[in-house]
This record gives sequence, structure tokens and C-alpha cells, in this order.
Amino acid sequence: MDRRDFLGKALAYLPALSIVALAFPFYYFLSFLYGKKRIEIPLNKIDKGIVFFKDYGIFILKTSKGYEVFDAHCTHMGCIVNYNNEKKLFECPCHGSVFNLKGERLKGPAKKPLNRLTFKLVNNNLIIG
Amino acid sequence: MLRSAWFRWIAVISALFVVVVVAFKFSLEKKTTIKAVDSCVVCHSNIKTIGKSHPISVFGCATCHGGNRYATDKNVAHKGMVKNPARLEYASKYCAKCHSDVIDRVEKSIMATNKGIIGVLNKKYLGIDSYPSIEEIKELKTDNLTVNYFRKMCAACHINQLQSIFSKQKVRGGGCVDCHGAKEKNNPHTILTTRIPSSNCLKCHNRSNRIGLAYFGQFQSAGYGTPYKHGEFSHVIKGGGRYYLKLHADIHWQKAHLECIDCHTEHGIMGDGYEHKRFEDQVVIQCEDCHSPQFGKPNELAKLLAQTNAKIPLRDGLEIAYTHKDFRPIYNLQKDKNGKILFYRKLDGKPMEMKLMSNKPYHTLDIHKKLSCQACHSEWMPSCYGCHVANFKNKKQFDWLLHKPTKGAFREFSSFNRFSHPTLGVGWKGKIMPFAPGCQSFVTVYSNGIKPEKQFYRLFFASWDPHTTQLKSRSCTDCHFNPTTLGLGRGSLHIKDNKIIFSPVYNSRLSGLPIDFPLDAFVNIEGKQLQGVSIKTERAFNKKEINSIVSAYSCILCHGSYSDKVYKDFKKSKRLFLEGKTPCSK
Amino acid sequence: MKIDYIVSWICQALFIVALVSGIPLVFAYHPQHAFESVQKITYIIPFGLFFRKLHYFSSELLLIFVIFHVIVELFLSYNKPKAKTDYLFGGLAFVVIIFLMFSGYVLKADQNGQSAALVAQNMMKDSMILKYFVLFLGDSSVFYWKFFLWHVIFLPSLFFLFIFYHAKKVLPKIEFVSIALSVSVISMLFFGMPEDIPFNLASKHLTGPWFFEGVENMLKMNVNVDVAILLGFFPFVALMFYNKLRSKTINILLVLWVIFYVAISLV
Repeated sequence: MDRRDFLGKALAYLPALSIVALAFPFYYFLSFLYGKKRIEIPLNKIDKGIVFFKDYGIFILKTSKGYEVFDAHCTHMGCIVNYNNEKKLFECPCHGSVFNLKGERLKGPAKKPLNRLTFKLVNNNLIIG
Repeated sequence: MLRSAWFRWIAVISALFVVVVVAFKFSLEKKTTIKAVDSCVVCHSNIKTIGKSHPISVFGCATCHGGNRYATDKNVAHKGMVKNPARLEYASKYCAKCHSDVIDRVEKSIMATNKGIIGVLNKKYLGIDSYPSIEEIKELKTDNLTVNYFRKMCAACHINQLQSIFSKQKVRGGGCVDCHGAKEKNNPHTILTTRIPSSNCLKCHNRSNRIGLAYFGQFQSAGYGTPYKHGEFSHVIKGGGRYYLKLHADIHWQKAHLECIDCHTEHGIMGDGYEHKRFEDQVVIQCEDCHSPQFGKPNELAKLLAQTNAKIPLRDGLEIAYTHKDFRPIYNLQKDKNGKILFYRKLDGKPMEMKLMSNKPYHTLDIHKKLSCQACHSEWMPSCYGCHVANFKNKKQFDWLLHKPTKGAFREFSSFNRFSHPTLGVGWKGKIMPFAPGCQSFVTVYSNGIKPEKQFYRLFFASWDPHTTQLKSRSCTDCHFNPTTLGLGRGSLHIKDNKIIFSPVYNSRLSGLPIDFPLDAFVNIEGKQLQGVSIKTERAFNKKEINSIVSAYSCILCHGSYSDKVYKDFKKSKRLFLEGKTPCSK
Repeated sequence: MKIDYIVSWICQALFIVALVSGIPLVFAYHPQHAFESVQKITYIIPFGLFFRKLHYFSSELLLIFVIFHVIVELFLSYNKPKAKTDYLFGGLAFVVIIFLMFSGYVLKADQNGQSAALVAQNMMKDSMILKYFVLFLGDSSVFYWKFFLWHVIFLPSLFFLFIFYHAKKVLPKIEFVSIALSVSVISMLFFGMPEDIPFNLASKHLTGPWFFEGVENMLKMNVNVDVAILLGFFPFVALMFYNKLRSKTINILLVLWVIFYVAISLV
């Protein structure tokens, strides 16, 4: 391939750059939409011992020592676990994993304990992420 | 053409151009990532807090202020924005998202409608019984004397007044924030609070019946700001131009530092949804609500109020007091299981032991059951005698409702100011209450030049709680042989040949007033009421009452103290006296 | 290389730009919080405004170039054999573009969009013929589900179908796409988009998209809805059957219509 040929090929394909250039904004656009979100929850919304926030898929436990936040997604296949008020356990409705209130795995296909989320308390708000 | 080089170059250049633009946008985009609820805080980052109940991190700005919460461009973001959403016309849109019940009530409350002021003026100047609200007279084109006077002299004080027309120190109005707003250092935004400092109330309540001054022991003197201090006036009333004398403050302030809102309840201040004609109808709290309280389990409202206050604990199992009128909760007066009654200050939550009304003879005695608490326990009452109103029809004065000068100016001067043990009369509840002039207007209307067009006078007395309560009540003599208290005015009282004789000090005729009785005389010795009242059921003492009050004085001369034996069983003492079995009856 | 080829290729390219810039917007658009999500796209999401503007200007340019394309083709059609040009699918595609742009206008869901949706629905209800189709567009003014579906799925699919036959299976050229993209970007940099009118603002004057100004003015004059629609869409019908109708009268009618529509738009 000589220089002339190469230039010709380049001229033919370079216009595609314009479409490729749009890929970056597109990526940032989507990553903002579906990326990690900062969650703020006013403390007075946590009125019971265990509160489930549907919008964020998290459980917040109010204990004597303070608060604990768990990701409600099961560590097996990511279903949202249910809280069983009688047994005081988290149960996964999909494949039957069971976790206790500390998030530890008791049985089932899941291998890891529930994800514990870090948070801080600012101005009567619980802030995650 | 498709294969020609220039076309291809154009395509490539345009592609590169797009790449450059995207890269440029990319570098801009990185700088302005917004992590807050709304983008307002990008510019308004100096506002850190507006009070604990409305955290910016949750509410943002646009929830209350409107505008476009997403825009970062000033013009776009501020479109449709409201600077003060607490003004009542906006509050029904913004505040009412959560506080709709309160907004509905406040709009009809006496502090928003000023019905009482307008109604009494109507009655005095026009002789009609009509109580319109501010909103109604705003629309009124006919400027009669009442409306004009109200617009010029009174309308500066109502909670929906425009804040921007005042200089910074004197700000009044602004809707909800008139009361619920507090200023904080280094914070450009008003703090919203339910722990309302008394200074907010005093912005307005330092005129007319001057409750706000009297409660803190200030009496507005006709005086001169003496003694001078550092070459300047002392004892200046906030707002300037007026001076006070320092008298005894109310016992609730002296002893316990209670603020206005410690007693005045939510419904008493913000109304209960009815458009009351006068403040007496709206105010809920009475002395007995705390000093001989009735208790019950806290209702939802009480819990909510305690929660928003955040300083007063409301533990389970406690009982709270309820008002006698309308049964409203007083959540800061609590009785625990052991029967211990604690009163909490709303501003700082400090508990205090509540002193209940004793059942000593002076409280239980039948002959005094018609007395209100205020009749005896109010130490002094500011009384402003004679209000000389000059109305210049062709001159202009600032109209507080239209916020511009309009025709018809007013000037007011008093005859004299006095503090004294209050004059008594029969109040609107049928109980004996303190009375003071309210108001004694001598109106002169000028249209052109110095020749008056019209002159008339309307003299009224009115009753209210002067807010100068003391633990010690006034003495027996102070009521039973004091002409001022009886409503006769200042002067000397004699009993001659079984007849009461009164000679007044003040002479109205010689002072140039067109009346035959002294200004401070509510009633004459014949029991004829000399001055009007604005509530039908109120009146001065009649002749029979004056006689019986004064006649008791002959007993009080000897039995001047409640520790006296005759008061131990007064009924029996009286019976024995009438049967002629006591030394006195001889 | 002739001008008609260039214009038609640019039209095709502009449509591709509009399509590509629309894809990210679909992800961020929520028909149940329409206005909120549009504002979020505009001000919060990185490159949201970029894509929105690109989408707006490429489609506006598309409409302008399509009109240009029609004019050019009609002028040149004397020299072309009958069978070579396809008018039916071209006309249909033109109508689809109009609807696409109109539904896009509605979907921004500000006061203008809302009123446009309401006017469109009520026009359909008032019309003798179109009232049977109101089910396809009937939507509350708060939720924009049906408009969203039409704008994002049905209308683009229809357009693809029509343009496939109309353009005789000619594939787009990357050079033209690049040029179209840069032209859109340039107009994006130099011109402003009409501002959204939020709902907390009392607006004195709401308008539909500019190409419906004529129809709207007819409505203001209380012209019968069916007549207004017919008058508005006359050239499209004429174009669809241009092969059969081709004559001097129809040409004159089309020119007269353009004059009439411009005039009534400016009233």
C-alpha cells in the first residue's frame, strides 16, 4: 500500500469519526443515569426497627447502637430479599437464601453475606454513597 | 462528486469539527456536575440551613420558591420564582403542600384579617356594626373615614404586610415568616422555626393596648427619654421616637422568663378556621388553663407540636393539659404518673414546677366569684387618655395597603398617659375585668385651610388583659374605696350623710374638650355610663354595684386582711352580722 | 453529481443524526414525569443538553431539507421519466416526519407541549374522519405514554419502511452523515432552542410548532376542523399521487397552496 492509497483509505473512513465521537457523550449520559447514586434519607422516615426503601432497594435497621444499612439484593442472583418479621430473618424469595439481622448467610445458595453499605449522618439525614 | 477529493476533505473536516466540539463540551461538562437536589445551590451555596425542619438537602429551594429547579442559567432558573413564598397568597400554593390546614386557618385568623380593628373603627366613626377583613377593604373604592384611617394608621401591622417597604430593623409582615422567621448571623436566609422569639411578636404588639411593652415592664411615657445617658436619650422603645418608664414586669417574665408563645397556643394565634370578629373570640388561653388545669392523654396535634418543637419531651404515659375553651392541647404543661405537674419553656425546654391556684378564702369567697383573675392580679394598666385625630383631606400620606401615598392624611396626639391600678368594669364574659380607654377619639376633619370642616368625638372604654400580672393582688382598699378603680376617674371620694360624694380632679371644659365629664370617668356617681364600649355586653358598674362596693369599705376598715377571723366562714359571719349578733352590727 | 442527489442524501443523513441523538434521550425520558425528566436531561445529566439540542436541530434541518428536496424534485421532474421517481412513499414519509416532529414537540411536555397535545386530541375529536383514530393518541395531559410510543417506536419504524422504498434501497453515506452532523452542531452553536415554559408560570401565549402555525391560525378564525386539516395536508396528498395527477393545474395549485399557507401562517 503506497501513501496515496493510504490517504485515500483514510479519507474514506475518517468521516466515521464523527459518529464515534458521539459515543463518549453517550457513555457519560448513560453512566450518569444508571451510575451510583447518593441517597439521602431523613432520619424521621426510619420510624420502625427495620425499614425497607423500595426506591433504593435497601434495608435500614435502627438498633440500640445506631443504624445499619443493608443492600436488599441477595448476593446469589440479586433478587430483593424479604424481611420475615416473625423469624427476624431476611429470606430470598427466588432461590431460598436466608440471612440473619447481621446480614450473615444462614443457608441457601448464596455464598456471601448481605452487602453492608457505609453511610454517614449529617443534619438528621442518613447519607449513603 | 462523491469520489472527488474536495468532497472527501469536507467530510473529514466536518468529522474533525464534531470531534473538537464534543471534546470542548466534555471539558466544560466535567466542571459543572451537580450533586444536590436542585441546581439552585450551585449559585446559592452561601445558604447552609433554613431551620431543622426543612433541610435543604431534602427540600432544595424550588419546592418552596418555585422557579426551575434544574436550570443553572439565572434567567431560566428564576422564571416563575417567588422570593417570599411565605406570603399568604403564595403560601396557599407552596407551604400548603404540607401545611394546608394551617394555611387555611391563618388566612382567616385575626392577625391576617384585622377584622377587630376595622370593626371597632366602623362602630366608632360610622356607627355601623360591620367587621370586614383587610382583603375586603383592599377592594373597596369608597374611602370612608374608617377605611382611610385604617389604611394610613393601622394597616402597617398585619402578617401579610409587604416586608420590602420597611427599613431593615423594622421589618414586619411577610406571611408565615412574620412569626416563624428568625434571623441568624451570617445566614442570608431566614430560619424557619416554631420556637418563636417574643421579639417577633413585639414587632407589632407594642402599640394600642401595648401588651408587648407592659409584659416586659415598659410603660410608654409621654416622656423625654430621661435621664440622659452619655449625652443621649435613654429608655428608648425599639423603633425609635418613643420612650418608656420601667415598671414591674409581668411575674411570668420576672420569675420564669416565659415568652409569649409559652402561654399562647397554636389555635389562639393562628386561628381555628373561623373568621373571628375580634381577638377575644380567637384567643384560647386563659389563666385557669394552667393554674387550675384539666389533663388528658396527648392527642395527635400535641405529639406533632412537641415533635416540631424538639426541645420539649413528650414521653409515653404522660398527661398534658387542655384548654377550657375549645379543648386545645397545651403540650408544654404535663402531668406525670405521680401527679407532678411540670411546665416546659418552649424556647429552651427548661422544665418548671407549676403553681396551681390556691383555695385560700380570697379565691374561694363567694362575694368575689365574679372577678376575673386580671381584675385583682394586674398591677398596672397603661392608659392613654384622649386621642386627638386630625384628618387633612387634601394632604397625602402613605397608604399601607396600596404601598404609595394617597389622599387623606392623619395625625394623632394624646391628652395624657397614665399608669395606674386598672379601672374595673363588667367585661364581655360577664366577669369583672380591667378597663382602659380604647379609644377616646376627638376627630377634626380639615379639607381646606385651618377651618375645620367637621368635628366630632367618640369616647370608648375597652377591657383587656394588660399583661402586668403579679403574685400579690391589689389591696382591698384599692378596689373598694378608689374612685379610679370604680370608673369614676381621678379625684377624692367621701361619704357624707350616707351618700357617696366624688369630686374629680380633671376638668374637661377647662381643658378645652367639648364634654361635661372628666376624660377618665367611665361612669358617674349616679351610675350613668359616660363613655361607650365596642362590645355590647361590656359596661361600667351601675349605681347599685358602686354602692355595694363602697359600702363594703366600712367593713374593710377593720377587717382589712384575709387572715381576719370573719373570712374563715364568711357566710356565717355575714349571717351573724345581719342578725345583729356581732359587735359591728351595734 | 446533481443537486437533487446531494439534497436527498443530506436528508437521509440528517434523519440518521436525529435518530442517533434521540437514542440517549429515550433512556432518560420518563413519560410519567415527562416535564421533570426533560428538565433533568436539559440541566443535570451530562451532555443532556447537547443531545437534546442536536436532536432538535437535526430534525428541524431535516424538515427544511425535505421541503427543499420536494421543491428540487418537482422542478426537475419534467426531465425525468415517470417511473423513476416514487411519489407515494415519499409523500407518506413526509407525513410521518411531520407527525414525528409534532410528537417530539408534545413530548417536551412543558406548557407548549401540553397544550399542543390537548389541541391535537380535541381537533381529532371534533373532526368527522379523525375521531375514529383518537384512541391511538388519546392520552392525558400529564402522562405522555402514547405520544412516547408513537415518537420512539411506531413512527420511526414506519419512516424506515417508507424511506426504504422511496430511496430505492440506497444506503446512507458516511460522508453525508458526517457533514449533516457538523451542520447540526454548527446550527446548535449559533442558534437557540425555544425555552421550555414551566407550569408554575402563567403564560400569555402558547404556540404549536412553527409548521402548524397556519393550521392554528385557521382554528383561530374558526374554520371547520376538517377543512383546516384538509387544507393543511393537501400538498401531501397531492404529492402522494403526483405521478397520476401530474399536470399544470396541480403544479399551480401547489404553488398557490404554498402562498396561501405562508400567508395564513404570518397573519
